[in-house]
Parts: sequence; structure tokens; C-alpha cells
Amino acid sequence: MLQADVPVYTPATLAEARQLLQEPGTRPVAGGTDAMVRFKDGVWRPTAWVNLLRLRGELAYIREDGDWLEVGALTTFSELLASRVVRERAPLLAKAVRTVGGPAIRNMGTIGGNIGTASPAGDSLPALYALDAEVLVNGVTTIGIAELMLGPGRLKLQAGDLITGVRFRAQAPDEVCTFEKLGLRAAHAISLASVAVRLAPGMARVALGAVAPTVIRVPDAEAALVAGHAAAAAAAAQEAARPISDVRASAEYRRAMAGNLLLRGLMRMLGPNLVSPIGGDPR
Amino acid sequence: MELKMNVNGQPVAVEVAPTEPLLQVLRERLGLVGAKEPCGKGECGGCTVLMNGQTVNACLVMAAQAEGAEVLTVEGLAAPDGKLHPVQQAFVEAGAVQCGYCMTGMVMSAFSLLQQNPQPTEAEIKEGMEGNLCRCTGYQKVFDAVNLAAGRLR
Ligand SMILES: Cc1cc2nc3c(=O)[nH]c(=O)nc-3n(C[C@H](O)[C@H](O)[C@H](O)COP(=O)(O)OP(=O)(O)OC[C@H]3O[C@@H](n4cnc5c(N)ncnc54)[C@H](O)[C@@H]3O)c2cc1C
Ligand code: FES
Ligand code: FES
Repeated sequence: MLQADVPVYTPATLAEARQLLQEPGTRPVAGGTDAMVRFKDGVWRPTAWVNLLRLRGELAYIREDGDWLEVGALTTFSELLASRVVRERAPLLAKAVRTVGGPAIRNMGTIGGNIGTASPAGDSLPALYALDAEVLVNGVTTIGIAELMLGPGRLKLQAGDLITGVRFRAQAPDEVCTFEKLGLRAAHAISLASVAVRLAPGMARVALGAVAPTVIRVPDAEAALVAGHAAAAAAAAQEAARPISDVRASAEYRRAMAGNLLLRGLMRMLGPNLVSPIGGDPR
Repeated sequence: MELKMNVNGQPVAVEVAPTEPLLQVLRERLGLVGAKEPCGKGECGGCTVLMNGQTVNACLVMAAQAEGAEVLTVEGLAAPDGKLHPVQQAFVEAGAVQCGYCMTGMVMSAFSLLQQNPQPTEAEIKEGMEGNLCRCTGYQKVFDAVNLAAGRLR
């Protein structure tokens, strides 16, 4: 039996939700797929939950705005996967989201909750870093995803702030991208290490998940890829990793995998000989 | 709080703690013990039910979040005369069930998968069932059962 009688408020508007969250000790809950686990474990003990599900009318959406895409915080992973716009114009995000949990987790889990949990292993985050995403706060201000993430479970937000969405430029039709995830099994497993990669002529993005206190971009690996050096890029990824050892994997293993996943991703994108369709010889 | 839902086609109103998991409401307050609680943490799928037409892990849904929801549990699948749903029948015939602990969740995931995708490929079946763990069967007969059900529902 759960520790009873923590109230759950269910506001009908964003304004009302923000009002309720002013009260110290309160915490939002969206899909609950992290919140309920942490609540049951006694890790998160808010004085009250503010249930966001009734704000879905306002905050569950996928919008095209010229070159930009905007996704509402309450959009579920299943909704992202079902969206042709996301699959065609943000394939990197679609690839990352496909690896999250199983169908029931994807049906409830939201992109806002993935950002809100601020885990370095959150699988949408490397994609959002590689897309140079901006997070919308309270529907009015934006903050870069990397600036928002301070550390595991820590965000640069004030009490009462809500993540309302995330926006980024659509991917160009001529670029290639991949999301590589390593878990303890092929499906329904948390990332031990992950990498999101985008490549286009003169442009490379590399973001690593689960190998540092936050997701990290690796500028040295990006420069190496632009110059066509795959091995140097993998070495730079290993160099940049700041992993921990835990029950799932050792730091050494995670560091090695950061580079190997990048190479695996390059092979998936470019073929086994790493011959780039965008020019140059990335070996 | 008083929680109002529609469960298996019946309106229900039941007094609950707002943070109580939907799974506990179903099992302990409504006596619907088909959904199981093997892990209580979203990891195993043994508590899978449909909420508003989609599978959820009932162990992770706060009661207050189910207010007004339509919930379908395994008890709601068979016909009123007790005739099994084709998905259930397929699990029986394929020999997909061993101890049975995971099976109500498996059946609900399979039911939902076939609702959304009546002719899944083998890869799509595996993806549709990836949130349901089984410690007995080795999964192959589960996949066979989903295939068999797909053929019959077509
Ligand atoms: C079995 C299982 C498997 C999982 N597998 C994966 C996986 O493979 N990859 C992965 O990345 N994650 C995984 N997760 C974690 C989880 O599903 C995701 O992090 C999901 O995105 C959380 O979203 P939610 O809506 O459920 O968030 P909630 O649990 O509702 O909230 C999570 C946190 O974010 C805060 N929050 C939620 N919405 C907002 C908002 N709009 N503004 C501000 N703060 C907010 C909450 O206060 C809370 O701190 C898994 C979880 C389980 C239980
Ligand atoms: S009991 Fe809910 S997923 Fe295991
Ligand atoms: S049949 Fe025993 S756990 Fe699946």
C-alpha cells in the first residue's frame, strides 16, 4: 500500500498549473513513468502532485513552423512515433524515441517528462542536443537544451516553472543521421551508452548519452567528422566521456562503448567501408 | 477522493487515495485480479491494461490520473457467455502459456497491437510485445499465438 494522502491536483489550464506549483514541495507529474517509480521508491516525496494530463489540449501537439518544428511537452513518445512530420523532418528524434521502453511506456511517457527527469540516459536528449533544440518554459521563454541541463535530475528552472515544449530546426533532406543505443538487452532497457549523430556536407553533430553527468556534445568529434576522420572522431568521443561505474556497467566499458557506438553509427549511415555519400573519405 | 471510471463497459465510482496505482484500484477495490503486479515498476508488463484505448502499465498510473478514463482489463475481453476472445483462444491453442503470471499482460498487449495493426510482421510483433517479460516460455510460442490470432481476426 502506498503512503496515502499526498494530494493530486489536476489543473485545467497552464496558468492554474503554474499557480499550484508555486507552493513549495509540489511537483508536476505528466505520464508518471518516472514519477510513479521514484514515488514508490520514496526518492521523490512531494507534498502534492500537480497532474498535467488535463493540459494535453494545450500542450500535446506537433507543429510545423516554416523550417522549425515544435513539440508540446505533453506529447507522448507514441504520438511522436506516429507522426509523419516527425519521421520525415526529424528522423533522428524518431529513431531515438523508438528505443524508449515498450509500447505501454511510450503511450504514457512524454517528451516533457524525459527532459524533466534530466537523466543523462534519457533517450530523447542526445537527439535534442544534436538538433540544437530549445526548450520552451512557461510558453514564453526559451533556453538551449544544454544550458537547461545542470546535472542528473537538475534543471536550470525556477520553482513553478513548467516545460511547455521543445523546438528545433527540421533536418535537411540530404543529411543522414542515426541513434545508437546500448542496453543490457535489445529492447525495454535503459541506455548504458548512446550516441546521436547527424552528418551533412560541412556539418556534423555528435551527442553522447549516459556517459557523463548530462548528455554531452563532442565538438572535437564533430570537427573530425567534418574533416573526414572517423577514427579520430571515435577517439574524441572516448576522450570526452566522463562515465560512472554502476550496477549496469563499468566506467571503462562505457567509455569504450562511446567510441564504438559512434563507429557503429557511422557504418550504419555510410556503409561498412565508411564511404561517405557526402564527399571525402571519412577514414 | 471518489474516482469515477468506466471499467469493462461498466461505470464505477470508488473511494481511493489519489496517488494509489490504478492497478491497486482494479485488484483490491474492484476485485479485478486479472492484471498482476509482478514488479510494480513498469518493467515487466504484467499489469498491462488499456486506458482510453491504449496499453498502459497500471502499476504506474496514479488513480487521480485515471479519472473519467475508459479502462479495459482482461476480464473484459471474453464474451458475456464466457467464450474467449480470439486472442485469448490463440494463446491457449498455441501453447503459449506456462505458469501464466505474465499472460494477462501479454494478452492485453497482443490485443492492442492487433487493434492498431491487424497484420503485423514478425518484427512488428516483437516490437509490440517488447514491454512484456516472461520467465517461462522463451517467447516463441507467444509470437506464434499473436500470429495465429492475427490470421483469425483478419
Ligand atoms: C520500464 C521503464 C522503461 C523506461 N525506458 C526508458 C527508455 O528506454 N528511455 C528513456 O529515455 N526513458 C525510459 N524510461 C523513463 C521514462 O519513461 C521517460 O523518462 C519518460 O519520458 C518520462 O515521461 P513522463 O511523462 O512519464 O514523466 P513523469 O514521470 O510524469 O515526470 C518525470 C519528471 O519530469 C517532471 N516533469 C514532467 N513533465 C514536466 C513538465 N512539462 N515541466 C516540468 N517538469 C516536468 C516531473 O516533475 C518529474 O520530475 C523508462 C521508464 C520505465 C518505468
Ligand atoms: S507490475 Fe506493472 S509493469 Fe510490472
Ligand atoms: S508463463 Fe510464466 S512468466 Fe510467462
